[in-house]
Amino acid sequence: MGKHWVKAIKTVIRHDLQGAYRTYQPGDWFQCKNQELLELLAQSLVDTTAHLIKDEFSGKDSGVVILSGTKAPRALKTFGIGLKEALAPELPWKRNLIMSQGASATIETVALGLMRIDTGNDFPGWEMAAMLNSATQLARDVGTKEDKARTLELIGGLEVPVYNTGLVWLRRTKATISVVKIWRDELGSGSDPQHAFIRAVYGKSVKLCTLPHEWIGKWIRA
Amino acid sequence: MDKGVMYVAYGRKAYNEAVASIETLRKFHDWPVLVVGDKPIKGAKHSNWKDRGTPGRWAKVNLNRVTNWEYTLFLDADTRIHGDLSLGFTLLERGYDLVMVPSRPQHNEMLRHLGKQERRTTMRELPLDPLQLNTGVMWFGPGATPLFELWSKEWERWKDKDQGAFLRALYKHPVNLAVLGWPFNSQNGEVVEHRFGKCV
Repeated sequence: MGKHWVKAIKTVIRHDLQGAYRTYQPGDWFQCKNQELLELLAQSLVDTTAHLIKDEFSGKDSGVVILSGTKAPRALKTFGIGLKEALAPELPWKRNLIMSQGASATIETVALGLMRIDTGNDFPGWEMAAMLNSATQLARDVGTKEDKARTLELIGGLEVPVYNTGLVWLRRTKATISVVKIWRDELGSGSDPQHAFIRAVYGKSVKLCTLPHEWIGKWIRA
Repeated sequence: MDKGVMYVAYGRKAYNEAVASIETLRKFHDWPVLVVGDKPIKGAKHSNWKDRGTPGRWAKVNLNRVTNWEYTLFLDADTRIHGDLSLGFTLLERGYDLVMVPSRPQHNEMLRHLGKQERRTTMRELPLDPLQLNTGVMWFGPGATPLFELWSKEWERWKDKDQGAFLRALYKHPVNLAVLGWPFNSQNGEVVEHRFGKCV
């Protein structure tokens, strides 16, 4: 069986087979196998996102838009999440995940991202969420010479980070409708996908929740 | 555009660092500079704000109240400028409220500099695996005011470091935040070199 991502809620000390140990403070995340997971849960040392999703997530008016060549996550229906295949980014639901470039996601990843773009009574909320493609990669490091020149002209610099455009969560708002329009137009004109996204996001302004490279939510499964 | 650059420099080391930083800034920009600290710096406006607790941090989490301009670039004193800083202001002009650069430590390494209790509480209150941002280089405009008000309140909870308080505030009141790459804030930054810890 695979591993599970868990969050320490008390201090956890873990030993490996060589006797070395590592201490995890409350709030730290780590992976463990089934047997250890059961032991840690029994001792109330860790939590998983399963409770969070079960208690707080609703799939109402949300869905996944699959662009060509991408496989749909499993069990979307169980959570009431819709699915649509499309040729270009669009926002059919209030909350959307646009998947492209062969990206894969578990149902938990889908839900955690959709929760990140939620709003609340006193909470204005993020309008978009997307992961960084790497900790250091910049617009100047990807794409063709023409792509870089066009981004430089439109944005004013190439020292902006590159995003993982395979998984992009968007709440339908005036700002995100505008972002998606530019994103579609850029992709339609044959731009490099990462430059297309950068131009769409940095050319306007939007409440984009930038997620770290290798966001833990990408690997979560119940 | 009504804009300027702010530093917070309390104490001898921070003062010396700010003097050196402003010297490098002047090679690229003639923007007005305001230094909040206990001693004026030649060529910069000076303000000695309320002395509460650790005054440097208090001023930093109240930048929006202390600034003289509508659009401000805040620079930690231990920075050196090696290039054009206009991109941050361009993004503010385009409608962004805040422009920042991610910190190097992320995931489990994030916020390790906080006290144990503050980190524990912060990690509990934040959503899953947020991006840690470095508060040493920030462009901000009037749209960031609600966030700064919350930042100040969050900082009052422990009155210690500012980055945990910043993230707690950001996730309570998201703003239009544009992220720039490492050249604008890192030890080997091509535009902003950040000499972490030189003021301590």
